[in-house]
Amino acid sequence: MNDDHDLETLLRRYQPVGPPPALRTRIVDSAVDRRRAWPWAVAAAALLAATVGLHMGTSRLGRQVHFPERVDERIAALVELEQSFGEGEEARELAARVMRERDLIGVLEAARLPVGASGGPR
Amino acid sequence: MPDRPPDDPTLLAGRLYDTYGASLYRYALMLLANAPAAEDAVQQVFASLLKGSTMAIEKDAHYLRRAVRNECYSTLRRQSLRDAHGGELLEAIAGADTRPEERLAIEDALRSLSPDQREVVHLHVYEGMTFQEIADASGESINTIASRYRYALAKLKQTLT
Repeated sequence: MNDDHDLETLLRRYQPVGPPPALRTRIVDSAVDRRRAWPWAVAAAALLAATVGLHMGTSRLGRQVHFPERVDERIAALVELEQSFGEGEEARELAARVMRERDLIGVLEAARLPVGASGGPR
Repeated sequence: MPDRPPDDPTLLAGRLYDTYGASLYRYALMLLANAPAAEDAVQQVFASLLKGSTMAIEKDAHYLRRAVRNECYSTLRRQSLRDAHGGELLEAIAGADTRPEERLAIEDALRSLSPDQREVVHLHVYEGMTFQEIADASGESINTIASRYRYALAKLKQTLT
């Protein structure tokens, strides 16, 4: 093989192998998984919101209740939630919303404790 | 892509894949010289594309090729694929005068090249891109690309003779 042209001619008798058919399935299925994740996530958020609403309607929440939580724990929980919803702006917003609703539930649960109980809210 | 893609992620994924998937996979395969890693790289690029909240993605071949290129080089930085079983790299063109042992010899010779040498051979020989187009796509100078190609062919000749 003496010149580049001969080598290129030899190379062009072949071509890189194409993708296996399963790759298309993998890619499309992953898109389906993403699509399926959203109705579930929205339903979960809606259920949570309904729960919070129910609690609010029946609890004695009429006073200011402080519910402390460490910032690093909040961030970790938020990141975990976001990852469970996928990624991107929508997942971030949904995670933040669920977090707020979680806080509300925490507040409501705390409000049920006897006033002055050890570790209870003020 | 001339038309606006549909919002449905499955349709979008299928449509993008049918248009660009085979070409992107072959590019990744030649860069990585490893079929499973090439599959992962292409899937990762499509997954990233479909993460967008609007789904109104207007991507062209250049963008996708660059995304696959970045993913492949990330893969190469993360892991050594040298000893992994990479699967077949080449297949005979229908009707061409070919021999299995010749194909294996060429595959071995291609594997002996560096990834960036295989890349330039692939883009020039199999994609028909000019050195200028390859330089534009890779962000390197045309002299670098031409030189890389020359060294790659020299090494291939040395290995195959």
